[in-house]
Amino acid sequence: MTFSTYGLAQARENAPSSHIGPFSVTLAASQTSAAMVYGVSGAAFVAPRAGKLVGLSAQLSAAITGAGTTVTAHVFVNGVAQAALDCVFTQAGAAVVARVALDKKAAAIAIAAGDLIRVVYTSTGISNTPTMVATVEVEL
Amino acid sequence: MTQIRLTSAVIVAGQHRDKDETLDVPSDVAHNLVARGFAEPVSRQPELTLDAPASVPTPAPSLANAAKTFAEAGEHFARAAALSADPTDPKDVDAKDDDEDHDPPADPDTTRDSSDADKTLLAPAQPGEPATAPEGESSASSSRKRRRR
Repeated sequence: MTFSTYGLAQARENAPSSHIGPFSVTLAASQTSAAMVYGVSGAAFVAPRAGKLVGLSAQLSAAITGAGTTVTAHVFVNGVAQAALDCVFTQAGAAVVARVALDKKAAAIAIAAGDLIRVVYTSTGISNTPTMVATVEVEL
Repeated sequence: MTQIRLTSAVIVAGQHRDKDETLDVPSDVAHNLVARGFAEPVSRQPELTLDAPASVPTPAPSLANAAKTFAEAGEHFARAAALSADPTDPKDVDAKDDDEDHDPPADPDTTRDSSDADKTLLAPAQPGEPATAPEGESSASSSRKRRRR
């Protein structure tokens, strides 16, 4: 007798993502990998079990100003930047919302239990100081 | 679960945990946190254990031992049978005497009176006799009079 695991696999595939965050920060000019705060501290989030990082979404309270400037939100896993999840805001684009979603099967970033996940940002010479919040989308 | 002491503040299970805080986390999480320098393992106090004896002395199973046990059991049975068969056994008699000493003989008068009184109250009235005792006379005393007659 054989049992099909298709249903189980399908259920996993369709499992809704959860989120880590929000991480938040008031942007400053010319920062490199500056920490964003999760809750009341800038502490890293500890993955309770193995899973996948499947996305990052970020939002600004106002579009950045300063000709040619940019702000990028990064996800760090154990101190290593995961460039595939970078969310980039440009002065030219004037966007206030950015989202990166990875293919769950092909491109999701695997994490292990106990991995430390943080969100940081890098900015160039922006003229204003909007607030940015970011949330990591995960499947654990 | 493994106990660790944090060396950096982290968010565990959605909760902020400060440096130097000690907490229990799943083993794989603990392993990873320790490996990355965010925590150190907490050495548990060794549990106190009683030293078990090297060997428990037990009689070796042998035919001789089995026969001895069987013989002892037989003696017990034989004694029990003798005690139950012979009622004049001094031990039994003593026991009986003791019982009788403790229970003094009942006062026949008292016994009769009370039982008769009950009977009088419960028994149906005889023909020719009043069903109830006359006023001022208890049923017990009336039945006593009847008996004397």
